[in-house]
Amino acid sequence: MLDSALRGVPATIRPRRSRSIDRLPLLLGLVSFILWMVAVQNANALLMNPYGLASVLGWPFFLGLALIVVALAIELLHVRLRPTSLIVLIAIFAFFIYGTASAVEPVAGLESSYIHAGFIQYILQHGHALSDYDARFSWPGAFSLGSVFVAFTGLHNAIAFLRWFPVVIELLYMAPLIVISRFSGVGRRAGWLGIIIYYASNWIYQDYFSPQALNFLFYLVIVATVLACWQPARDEATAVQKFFGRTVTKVRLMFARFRGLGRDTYSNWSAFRVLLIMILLSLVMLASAMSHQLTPFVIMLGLAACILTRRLGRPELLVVAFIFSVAWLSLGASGYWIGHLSVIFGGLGQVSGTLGQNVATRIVGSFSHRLIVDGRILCILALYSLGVVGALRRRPDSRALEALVVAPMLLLAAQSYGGEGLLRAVLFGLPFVSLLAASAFLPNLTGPMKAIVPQMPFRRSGRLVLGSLIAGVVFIASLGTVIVRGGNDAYESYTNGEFAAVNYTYNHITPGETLGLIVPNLPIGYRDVGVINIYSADGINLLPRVRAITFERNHAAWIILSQSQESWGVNVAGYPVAWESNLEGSLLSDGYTIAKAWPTATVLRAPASFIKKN
Amino acid sequence: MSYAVIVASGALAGPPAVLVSTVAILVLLAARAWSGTMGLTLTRRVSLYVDGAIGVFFVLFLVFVIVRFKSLAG
Repeated sequence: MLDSALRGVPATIRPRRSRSIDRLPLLLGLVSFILWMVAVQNANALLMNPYGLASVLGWPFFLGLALIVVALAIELLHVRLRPTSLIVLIAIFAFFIYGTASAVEPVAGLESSYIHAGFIQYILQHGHALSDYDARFSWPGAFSLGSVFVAFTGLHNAIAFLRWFPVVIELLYMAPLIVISRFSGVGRRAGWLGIIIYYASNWIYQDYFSPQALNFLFYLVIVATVLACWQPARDEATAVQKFFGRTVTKVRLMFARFRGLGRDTYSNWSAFRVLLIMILLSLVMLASAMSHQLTPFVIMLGLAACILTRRLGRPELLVVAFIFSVAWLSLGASGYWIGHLSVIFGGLGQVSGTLGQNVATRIVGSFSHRLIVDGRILCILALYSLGVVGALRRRPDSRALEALVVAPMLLLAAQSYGGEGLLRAVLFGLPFVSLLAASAFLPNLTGPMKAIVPQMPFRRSGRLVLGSLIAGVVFIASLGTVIVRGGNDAYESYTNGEFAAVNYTYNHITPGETLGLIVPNLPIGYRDVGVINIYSADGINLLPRVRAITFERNHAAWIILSQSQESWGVNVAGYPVAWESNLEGSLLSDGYTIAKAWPTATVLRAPASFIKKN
Repeated sequence: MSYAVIVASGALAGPPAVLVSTVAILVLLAARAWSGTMGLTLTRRVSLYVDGAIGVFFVLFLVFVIVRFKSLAG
């Protein structure tokens, strides 16, 4: 008898009923979680080498990772899909990929997360954003929400949220991901596999404490709701196919007026519910428009992709997304663009320049750093290649997934986004390309649209082959992600000593004084926003002689030298080992004195003659 | 006199112009979505009026935004 849950899985590979392995996946999941806890307990972040986080993880971590992947593969091909078990196992898997850094490193990584905590602190204290200070403050929605949370929890600042934020927000993504996988036209098993592949391959570190992490959740929620609400009506190309080629007809219909009006979709939801959903989605879009520069435009592109592929029945939503995004840019964010409009529109149409800025400028530094960057590019290329295979193999009811992968890429034609446009475009397409990649293994064979390539049926041993293949690919992907995601942690993660040094400086620096840094790779910016000046020598070549004069000219009253900055110099800037010690010696000979020192950080104080307040 | 004030780029670049056109479009879109979703049958002429008004305000919105960019960007 056919199990309805097995629709979409080729008949020849349908698993047979078995009771002996019913509890095995959860048992393996439990063992793997224990191994993870042992691994993070024994890992010492201070011993990290240039290859980052993976260099301090012992064998229990990798054994645990292998076990959780095997558990996921067994559960995925279980005769009856058990969503609860899958959710539990995926959550454990998410801890491996996104929770390890939080558990191993003594304080939260990435200086941007501390800067965002500082913005929240400012709003909490003053009740409004600080104008003309930082571009991000022109989109203060997420920071305002953060200040509400801080006030609600009775904390004094947002620092407590930073450390575990990545794993929490990634787990929050699971809800819309489940909806997207359920309603995107892939089979149920392929949908779950797509979610697993997403978690296994998201090395793009945009889930730190930031507006973009929250806005990615908004984006997923909007797309999930749209896909759940509207389904594609029957493809009406058949009647006119005799006169036009099928492809020509499909392309023509894509841009026909009735498709633009959303008339070749249908919804099983009640009219009142649809209206309510539209209001709620509009509110989410408004929140997004006020809290992030890029996401509102990606939402717009995503909705346009849904309309063109018969997955959005109300074009009003697209117009609302456009109006909110542009209106906020024009009114709310005018402090950002007044005086330098070219920052926004200067990159229009310069796709190759944008790509060059996004890719070529990153492949610099030491061998280990370039290896990590190459690994990241390789991971993305492999995933997209698998996605192409999935797109060719599946028989969908619409090509919405393909369109949602391509749509964010159009951003590159408009903006380089400070060299991060390609990263963001890939991130926004990642959930959908993961579902396509899952379709490479488990293609939907029952959709009304024809597959582009003929099917290759599995034989009698199909289940074992498929399970092994899935486990192998997911393990390799997750291993790659663990390595490349934490590959910069040698200079993007911080120690207690560095945090204490920053805190000491904040406690002693007076308003208007300048704090000097080699590069802002420190847990800095979480307080006293707009009160003190921070000078960073980032981008200035300090070689061949390490130049203390750079700081003296800029009247740096305080200087923090730290392990993460030294590691940045060696790995990214190509400075010789112990360059920071030379700089410290040079500064001391020029009159600076050591105010306080920790094993991983030193705070220097300038002589009175250097100090100039702004 | 009043005509000259209205079409002066300073007036068009101010927040009220963008804000009013935004609100107008949102109200019209809400009406369109409400009628379309709830199955309220509009005559063809009324539908055209609503869609046309949305189109006009949309163009005005774009004009106001562009004028604002050009006037204030410096």
